[in-house]
Amino acid sequence: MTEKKTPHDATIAPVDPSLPEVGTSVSRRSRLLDLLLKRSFVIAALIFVGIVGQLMSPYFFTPRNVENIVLTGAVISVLAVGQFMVIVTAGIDLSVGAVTALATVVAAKLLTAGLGVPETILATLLFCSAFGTLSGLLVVFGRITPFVATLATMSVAQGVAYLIQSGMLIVIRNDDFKALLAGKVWGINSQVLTFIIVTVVFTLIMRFSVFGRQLYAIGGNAEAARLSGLPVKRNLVAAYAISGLLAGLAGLMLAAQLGQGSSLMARGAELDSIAAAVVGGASLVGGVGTPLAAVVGGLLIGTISNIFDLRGVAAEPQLIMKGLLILLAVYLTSGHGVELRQRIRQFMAARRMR
Amino acid sequence: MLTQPQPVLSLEGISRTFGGSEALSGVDMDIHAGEVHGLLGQNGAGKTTIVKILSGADRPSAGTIRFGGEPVTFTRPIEAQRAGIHTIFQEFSLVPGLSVAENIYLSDLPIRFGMIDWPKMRRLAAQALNAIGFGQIDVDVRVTDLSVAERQIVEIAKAVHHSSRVILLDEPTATLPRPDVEKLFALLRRLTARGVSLLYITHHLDEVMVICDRISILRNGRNVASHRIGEITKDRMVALMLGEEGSGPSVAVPPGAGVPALRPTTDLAGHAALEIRHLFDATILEDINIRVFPGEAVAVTGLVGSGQQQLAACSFGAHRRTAGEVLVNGKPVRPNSPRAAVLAGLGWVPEERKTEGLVLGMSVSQNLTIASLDRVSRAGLLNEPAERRAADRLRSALKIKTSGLGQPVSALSGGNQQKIVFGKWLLARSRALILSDPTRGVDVGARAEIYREIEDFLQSGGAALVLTSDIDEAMLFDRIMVISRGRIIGEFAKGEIDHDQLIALLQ
Repeated sequence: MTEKKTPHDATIAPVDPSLPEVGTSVSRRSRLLDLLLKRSFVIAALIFVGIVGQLMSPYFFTPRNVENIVLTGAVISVLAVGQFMVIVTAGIDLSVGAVTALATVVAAKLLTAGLGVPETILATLLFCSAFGTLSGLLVVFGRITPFVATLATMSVAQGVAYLIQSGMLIVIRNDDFKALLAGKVWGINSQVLTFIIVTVVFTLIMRFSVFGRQLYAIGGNAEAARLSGLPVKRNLVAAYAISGLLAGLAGLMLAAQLGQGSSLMARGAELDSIAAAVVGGASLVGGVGTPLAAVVGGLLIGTISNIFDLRGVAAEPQLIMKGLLILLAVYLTSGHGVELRQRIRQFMAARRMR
Repeated sequence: MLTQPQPVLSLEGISRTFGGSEALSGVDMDIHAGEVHGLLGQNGAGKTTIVKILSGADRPSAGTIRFGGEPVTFTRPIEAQRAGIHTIFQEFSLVPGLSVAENIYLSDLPIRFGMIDWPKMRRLAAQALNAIGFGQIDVDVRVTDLSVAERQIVEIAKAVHHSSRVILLDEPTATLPRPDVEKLFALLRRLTARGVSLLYITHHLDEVMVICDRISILRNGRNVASHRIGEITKDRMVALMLGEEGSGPSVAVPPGAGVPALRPTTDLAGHAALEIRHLFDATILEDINIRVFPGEAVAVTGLVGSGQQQLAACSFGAHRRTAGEVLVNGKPVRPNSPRAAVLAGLGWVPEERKTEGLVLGMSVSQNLTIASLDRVSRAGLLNEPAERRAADRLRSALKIKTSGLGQPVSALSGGNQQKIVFGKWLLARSRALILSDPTRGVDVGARAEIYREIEDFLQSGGAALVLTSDIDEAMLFDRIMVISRGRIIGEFAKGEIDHDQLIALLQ
């Protein structure tokens, strides 16, 4: 601790290897760089894509288009948060798309039967949480791998949705329901409000609650977590229950938005939510990432799609783009690209010091 | 079993260094045709490294391997196999979903018209099994449906099929039920009668006396002795494995490095902090009874594989027990639940700190508080300043060397990682701790510090049960219990028994 510090220490590169200590100002700056390049890598990417979008189309940054992007991403963002809660435990939930569709059917059926809006919402959410809980119980007590357990509950959810629907789609005529979940609340689109609240709440849970910390520990090393006395089984079931709950919420949003319940909705949404979480830096091995990053990952995919739409690119090439984006994101966050990113960081740090 | 003058396999001055440390240094060893050669040594003596080198998974840094008189180098496992050296690891290299016949022929499936020639493969596999006297095993059964003993036989049949001249067996009886051991030995004798040589790695001296013709003993990467089996007593073998008193780095308790004289037993009245009653498990433990009182440290020592691991895991609820009770502060703990044990005030510092003790991706402070999140939170929400304060207190108390509490534990040295696993239980205010080889893989300085921390824990009224295979370490504690084949065979107060007497007990 005999290090000398000059007032402008930050401008001097700590290149002398004989100096054991690095100046605090330098480490603070590198932490900022680190934050930008590592923690909030997707946010940096989103900003970059935003700039590209502006260059590609003058229409891109209009309020209408931005609202369009966010609105399109709202449902998938809610699903991505739920998916993240499972992925962080080193699991996966393939049933979220089917449960979302099931929720639209259940809600539509209950409303048609004359049930009130709050009762319908509550019943739908409970029903979908129960589905998630079932997946969790299969994983924890049935010792079935998450992939297979949720593949099975996905199929069951689809079947139940068909049976309840029993025919063509169910049209929702309850205007209160539509106004609440797809209209405006305090001048803000309620879908946007819902997804922001969900994202913030779960990001805070993962960051500040005991439950969140335990989920990270379980995903990081389930055996060490168990041997430290954490309630591993209970928490795992809870993670799947949350995923089911949020799929239910997403279904309610979709039902209100489209004014109908149909077992054909949200097809493939489970894969979109996984893609969002992965692009946001979550690892399927578990233990890393945040709900916020998963949401931003989903928005990143959505924004790029939007730019392609504005440029008149067809849907098919967009799928290819999405595939490449997932590969790039995973390469940079968990593949060989981690080294590449470190090199970029060092290069940038060296440039700034010059 | 004649030993011929020309060894079939010989190691000449084999060394292997990893970084700065030597796992093997100048090992000479001869294996003759048709003999069973026992390879003995404590953990870390170099047995695994020798197996890796002979099986082609690793290469020596120096020295020559001669096979049939010719110098050979194996760069990949397949080369060793082709040359005729087959290794049977503890966790077998069989494909569970395939049939016995397919497993035996996996690397050279008989082909006819571009398809697998099933009739031929089944016939030849049956012959291979018949040749070693186990024709009753059905070649169409999938390996998953076989017992451990039968799988071992299939492994051996595979080796025989490849006309291996040397077979390495890594602790073949470790997972084998008792009655099957005799069958295995009979099979091994049939193999040697056919001229096959066996390198037999084990911890069990009784087996060595029964099956081996000659033995080599490794200690700290050196071959300290090779003997014919009639020329050496079991006492002598144990002494050679563990090192003579005061010699050999494995027993190096740093002289004058401030190793505390741990307290003598006091206050034996009242409840035991940890009591284990009539504990049994399905594999090895038999009627274990231990009481550890507040302020006391009890060591359980024995040769590696005597049941220490199972005893620790069973007591903590991490491994299923078949009978018995564990009480913490006089209250029985619900079995088979580590959570119940932790809530009752028990903590475990496991042997495998990276896979069982730490979440490597998490920070120093997160690992320290993992078992006591309720103490640093309110209403389910973490109180981060409180968490930081608690972690910081422990960091200075335990002298954990880290660049910051946010540093991932994966970046720390073994000694500092061990302190974190230990500190986790201090923070959880555990009243009794089970410590499995607490100073394994820890450097000399950190070792002294860990002893001091155990002492501090005892001073504050804690109780420690230390499971160790290092007998000099065991002799530091208030009471020493000796475990052998899952039974406690002796109990001594500190100073009541010396190094040599302890060694004599450990056969």
